[in-house]
Formats: sequence, structure tokens, C-alpha cells
Amino acid sequence: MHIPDNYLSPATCAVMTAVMVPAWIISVKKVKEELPKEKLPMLGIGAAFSFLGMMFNVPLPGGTTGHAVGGTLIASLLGPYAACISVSVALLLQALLFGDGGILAFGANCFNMAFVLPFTGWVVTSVLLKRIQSRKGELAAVAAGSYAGINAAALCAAIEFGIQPLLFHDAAGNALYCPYGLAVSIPAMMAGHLTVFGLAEIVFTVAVYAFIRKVSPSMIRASEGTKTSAGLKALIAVLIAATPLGLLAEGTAWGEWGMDEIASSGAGYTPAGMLSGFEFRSILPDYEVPGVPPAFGYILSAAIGVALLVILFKLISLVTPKKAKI
Amino acid sequence: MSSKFLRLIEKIFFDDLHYQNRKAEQKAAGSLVLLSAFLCIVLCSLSSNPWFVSFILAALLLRLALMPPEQIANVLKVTFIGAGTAALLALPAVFMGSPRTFGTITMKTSESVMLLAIISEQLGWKGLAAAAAGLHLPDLFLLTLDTTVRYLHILGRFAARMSEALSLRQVGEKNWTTSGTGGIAGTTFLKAQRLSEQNAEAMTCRCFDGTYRRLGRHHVNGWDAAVLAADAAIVVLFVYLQLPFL
Repeated sequence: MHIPDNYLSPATCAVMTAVMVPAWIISVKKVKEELPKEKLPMLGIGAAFSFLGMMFNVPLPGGTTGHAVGGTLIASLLGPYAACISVSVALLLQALLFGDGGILAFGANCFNMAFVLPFTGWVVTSVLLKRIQSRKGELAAVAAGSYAGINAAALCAAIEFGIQPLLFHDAAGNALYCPYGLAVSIPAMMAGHLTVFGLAEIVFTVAVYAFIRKVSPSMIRASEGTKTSAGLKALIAVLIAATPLGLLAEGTAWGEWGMDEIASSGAGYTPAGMLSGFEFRSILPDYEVPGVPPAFGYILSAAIGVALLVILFKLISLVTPKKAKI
Repeated sequence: MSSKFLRLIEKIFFDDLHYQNRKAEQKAAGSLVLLSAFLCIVLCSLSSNPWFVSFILAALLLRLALMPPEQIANVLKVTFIGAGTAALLALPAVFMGSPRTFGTITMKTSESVMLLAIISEQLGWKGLAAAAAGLHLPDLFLLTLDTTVRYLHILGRFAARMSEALSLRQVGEKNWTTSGTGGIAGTTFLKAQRLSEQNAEAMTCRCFDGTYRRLGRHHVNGWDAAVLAADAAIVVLFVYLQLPFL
């Protein structure tokens, strides 16, 4: 679901970023109001979970892959505004360090995965939680929320891809950016997310949520409890060590092909806007380290990503002057 | 008893309390941690493969992420100063056609400084002296190190206060701060002499003749085993990543 650069026109990217700016401002304001300063590092833990969740690629017959995002998980633990910030920062890190998702398309990716996903997931979860009070019902509500969230995000991404050939094409009718229209992009994106990737999101969200509820219940939306439990740290360590499992899924996710793959993906040509588009070289492209086996590179990338996210949010908590209202 | 002396006693009590708290938090033996740090720094310096340094940096970042925000800020402050200085010194390499050297030197310096800053935050200066004692370093060396670190702090603060007092009394055009430099240095020297005498008396009172007794546990616990396993993994990784360069 990470839209690379040059799949969306610069105009689309600008509009999506403009849409996200108020969302970020309101989220920051709400988080300052609702979360105590001492609990801000938890945003880093949430971002770390989202970052790790996105590294576990799941294969789909036909050669495409997808992954969980964990936006609903963070929304359920810390609220949707905190989820918006956490996932946005995780996406920024992925784009800058690992080249996963475009720099120009950052606003669009945030709109899909940091705004639509957690808010949809949170609304669905909250509505169901009002009707279901049991322990199992709570997990079912989180599962339903995560499924709805990831599918809403996938639908938005599919629409963003699909409108490109309609809006931006040359005189011959060839698309300048993403070559697939709505008739192709919506079924292609939704087929995976309604089935395997949606299931992966449910499994990831419910498994981590249930674990956190057991080992660190104070983290679940309560204002108290600012220390990360040993169980949670262990879970993050296990997830980092297990990230090479994401390499078992071969192939490229739909809409994330490289420049050399787009023509052979079924388009038949490489759109002109892509050939002359923006190019950004990240430090560790595709989570790979030259000269070492991909599994090591994956673990190194996961460790750096998680550490940077946690450190960043801990430092933010240090410089936040205002005592948040509890 | 002067207020300054009371403040000094308060500071020492605070440091002692802080050291006890740190000691309680610390799980692996200080000497072992110090040796592991030395091993890491040596291997990073020897490594021709930049990815080895990256692996160590990633591990250090993970360790740093587990620390409280205040300690993270302290470590990063020191690391940025170290890395910035190294980058400045290695900058000519970029213009002389060797940008790789610039990156390597900056990375290795960052790694070493960050590692030492983390250990310093983790153990504290008293803990470092205790860890060095655990490594059976000569007592004279330890005493010198111990008193140097302590008096650098105390005399530095004393000199800074004197300088501040002089600048507050500055009137008109005359630069009292500059003209008082000799006075500050001289007074600090006299103060150092007085403090060293007091220190000797305090050592006598506490029956300390400069011999460091090796206290604490001598058995290896689970955390020590984990540090040893990590050391072994680092050596294996170093050899593995170094093979293409041999």
C-alpha cells in the first residue's frame, strides 16, 4: 500500500499533502491535550509496532504481496490522533531511510495509512464496543475495526491510483503516471485486502492487542502507566528477530513496481511521467544492506527503525513543556 | 561550617544516593560491561567493512531506546559533539576525493562516543571507578582517575562561580573578567591545595589508604552470560563481515 514516487501526479501529491496538514495539526493538538507528557514515548512504541508490522510481507497467489499496518492497533491503544502521528512518523522514516513509499507521495500514503485507516478502524471498534462488553467481544471489535480500517485505506489508495489515467494522459491517450484505471486498480487492490492482507491485519492487530492487554494493561488508553513492560520489550525484540520472515514472500506489491517492472506488469509501456519523474536515493533501499544476506539486512533495518522511532518520541516527550490534561 | 562546604557534602550525598540507585538498576557486572565496550571500540576501529559499524550502531541505538528520555538526551548531546568534531576534521577528505573516509571516520567516532556515553550514563563515574577496580587496574591509577574526575567537576564549578561573580561586579569600560583570569586561576589552585589536604584527612577518617577493595559479587549471573554471548556474537559478526576484505 506504500505508493512510490511518480505513480501519482505532483498535483495529486500536493492535494493529498494539503489534506493531511490540518489532520496533523489537529492530531498534535489533541495528543497534547489528551495524553500526559509522560505517556508520549508510548507513541514511539506504537510507531515501532506499525513499522514492524509493515515489514512482514504476506504473499498472494499471482506474485503480489501485502502487509499489515497496525493503525487500528495504535488507535485502540492510544487513540486515533496518536495513531495518526505514530503511523505518519513511521511512514516518514520508511520513506527517508528505506525508500519504502515515495517522498512526494508521503502525503497520500499518510492519508491512506495514517488517517483513513486508524480513524475508520477506531470508529468501527468504538461503535462495536458500545454494544459488546465481553472480553472476547472486545477482541472481536478490534478485529472488525482493523479489517474495516485496512480495507478503507486500500480503497482510497486504489482510487488515487485509478484516477491518474483519467486526469493525466498524453495526446495518444497513454497515462503519464499510474497506467491502471479504476476498473483495474480497485479490484486489484481490494482482492488482496479483502482476503489475505485483511486477515493479516486482523491477526497482527488482535495478537498484539491481546498480548498488551495481558502484559501491560495500563497501556490501553489509560492515562496512567508510562513504563514499557518487559513483556512488551520482549515482544518487540521477537518481532525484530522474526522480520526476515517477510522475505519469504516473493514478488512486488501491486502498485509498488520499480521502473523496470511497470511495463511487464501488464501496462505494456512505462509512462512518460515516471521516466522523467522525481528520484530519491535512500540509505538502505528495500531494507537491504550490500554485501550481507538479506535476512541480516532486514534485521538491521528493523532494529534501526524501531530504535529511532522510540528515541524520537522519547525526546519529544522531553521537550514538551506543557503538562497535558488528564 | 560554611554554606559552600554544606553544599559540597550535599552533592556527595546526592552522588552516593544516585550511584546506589544506578547500581540497583545495573544488572551486568560493570567490569564486564567496560571490557565489552573496549572490545566493541577496538573491533569497530579495525573493521574495514562499514556495515559492521552499522550493526554496532544499530545495537547501540536499541540500547539507547531503552534508556529514560533525560539520559537519551545526554548521550545524544555528547555523541553529536563528538561526531560533529570528527566530521569537521575529516571534511578535507571529501574535497581530496575520498568521501568514504569521511563517512567511515565520522561513523566510527560516533559509535565510540555513543558507546562510552551510554556506559557513563549507565554506571556513573563512581561506577566506572568500581568497574576499573574490578579489572585489577593499579590502585594508584584508579585513585588518580577517581580524584581527577571528582575535582575536575568541583574546581570547574568553583572557577565558573568566581568568573560569574567577577562579571557581575564589572563596572564601566574596564574588563574585570579578563583582568581577573590570573586571580581566578591562582585562587582555584589554592582551593585545590586546600581540598587535597581535606581529601587526605577525609581518607584517613574513613580508613582509606588508597587501596581499593574489590567488593560486590564474584559469581556470573544471567545478565553477565548475556553480555558474554553478545560479545561472542560481535566477534563472529566481525570475522564474517571482514572475510571479503581479507
